[in-house]
Amino acid sequence: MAKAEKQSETHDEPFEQLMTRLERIVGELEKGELPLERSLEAYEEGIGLVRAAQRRLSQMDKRLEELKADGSTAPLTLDGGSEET
Amino acid sequence: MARPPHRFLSLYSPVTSGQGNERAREGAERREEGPRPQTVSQLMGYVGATVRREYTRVFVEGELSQVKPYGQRVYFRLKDQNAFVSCVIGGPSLARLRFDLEDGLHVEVRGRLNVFRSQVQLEVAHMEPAGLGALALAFEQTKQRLASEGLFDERRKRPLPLLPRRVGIVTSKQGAAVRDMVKVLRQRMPGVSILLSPTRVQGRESAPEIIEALLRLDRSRACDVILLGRGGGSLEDLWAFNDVHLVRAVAGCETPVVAAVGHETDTTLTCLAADVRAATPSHAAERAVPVKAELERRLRREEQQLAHRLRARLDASALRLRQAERRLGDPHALLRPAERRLTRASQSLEDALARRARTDKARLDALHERLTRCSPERTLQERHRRSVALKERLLHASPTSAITGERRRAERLAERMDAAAERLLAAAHKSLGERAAKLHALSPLAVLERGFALVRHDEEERRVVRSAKELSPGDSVRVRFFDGEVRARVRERVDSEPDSDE
Repeated sequence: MAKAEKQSETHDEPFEQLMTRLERIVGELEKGELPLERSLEAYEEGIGLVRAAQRRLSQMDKRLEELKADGSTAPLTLDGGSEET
Repeated sequence: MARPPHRFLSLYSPVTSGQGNERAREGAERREEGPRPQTVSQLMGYVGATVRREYTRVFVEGELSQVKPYGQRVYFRLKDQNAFVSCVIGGPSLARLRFDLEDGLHVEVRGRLNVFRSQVQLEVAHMEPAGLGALALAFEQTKQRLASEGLFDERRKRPLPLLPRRVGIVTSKQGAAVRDMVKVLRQRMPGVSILLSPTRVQGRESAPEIIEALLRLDRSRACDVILLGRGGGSLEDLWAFNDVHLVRAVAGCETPVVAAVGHETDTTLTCLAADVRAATPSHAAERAVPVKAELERRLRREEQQLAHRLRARLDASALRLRQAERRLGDPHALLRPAERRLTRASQSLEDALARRARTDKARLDALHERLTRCSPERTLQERHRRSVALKERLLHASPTSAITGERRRAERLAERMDAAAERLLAAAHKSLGERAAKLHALSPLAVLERGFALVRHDEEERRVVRSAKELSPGDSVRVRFFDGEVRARVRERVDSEPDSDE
């Protein structure tokens, strides 16, 4: 339950915010001023953020779409060999 | 009045000024011949007339400076590196101008020269920006205006997201720009999601269309970053991107905008207003997404860092624990100070007790002594001692003793007396002997023994006859010798001569 919440929490978060949080956590661990229990929590949170960021990287939907005048979107194919790669 | 009075003044006309120095000397020589000098007003009046006559159509190029509007006219200087000329523009000439007069503006000016208040002044009839042309000038001036509104301020520019969930593109569906952008986006971030908002981007009239496509994409909130732009072209081709409305729309976008219009050398106002200005569409795409592989590396590094830091944290904790343990290891070390204090305290306590005990004992002894003095036994003893003493004194004081004493004294005195008597007797004996010897020596008998005889009166109480004159013949005398006496009668007296006798 809590895990699901955490995931949904990170889902809408901008990627750089994930990274910022991750860096802050690493920094806090680096300083070594956290209580031991908090260090473990921070570590778990950091690992969670790493996983979320990795997921974010792998879960891109690879779409190329066109935004129509009415606000709808449609798949787009570029003419002139834009799909060569 | 302003007629040239001397030939030499005309020599100063600008037309012939090339040989001025020589002619001036000539003029000076002539003046010595006696002509009257002019007034300054006459001189300047002549100069003015000459200038007005000679410079009716000047065409000059220079930079505007010290631009000062004054009433219906604008005064300024036209200058180059070495010289300047004061200028004025007003009336229909000013009204015809399509641009604002600004310091530093390079212009071409047509007009005529005048001399006003002893100063040469160029009265401008027509002015155009030099070199750039009207488009460029308009661009510069729009740029200045928008800049003064703060539209290009770096402060209001937003950072791009590190990893956009979707990248929006505003450009033409045809053309190289969109292909370049998609290609670079996918190279860097395979699988990146892209949403194109297509629009014409060619020519001045496309500006409203671009604005619409941009706003549509921005309002959809579908993208985290928008790439706006087109490929290279002429200044006129790119002109839509200098449209004030488009520039304002870009500045007003909620979504961060990366603009790339034309090539590196082209700068549009849209580019200046965008959050990030890229040189080309490809560059814009590079700015929009990170390289996935790098990001993954970075994440792995962060993960390792996390593990490493946690390990370090645990190690540090363990170390501290061991250190704490070690310090706890010698409880005596902790107790030692307390121990010392306790020892000192008990020592002083003992001392105090001992002092107290001594004091108490002294008091007790004193009390005891006082008590002893008060005890009946002691009293009895005391009395006994006193009675003994009294008895002693009494004994001394009794008559018996006095008698004995006196007796003894008497005895002593008697002894002393006997001794004294003996001494006296001895002394007397001695003295007597001595006197007896003396007496014997003095005795007449002793003299008689030596042959002398003592004559005494037979009568007259047998007085020693000391002189012959005492005797007369017939008197009886007694003559005593040492061994007896005889009685004799004086027969005669023979008086002897005392002197002859001797």
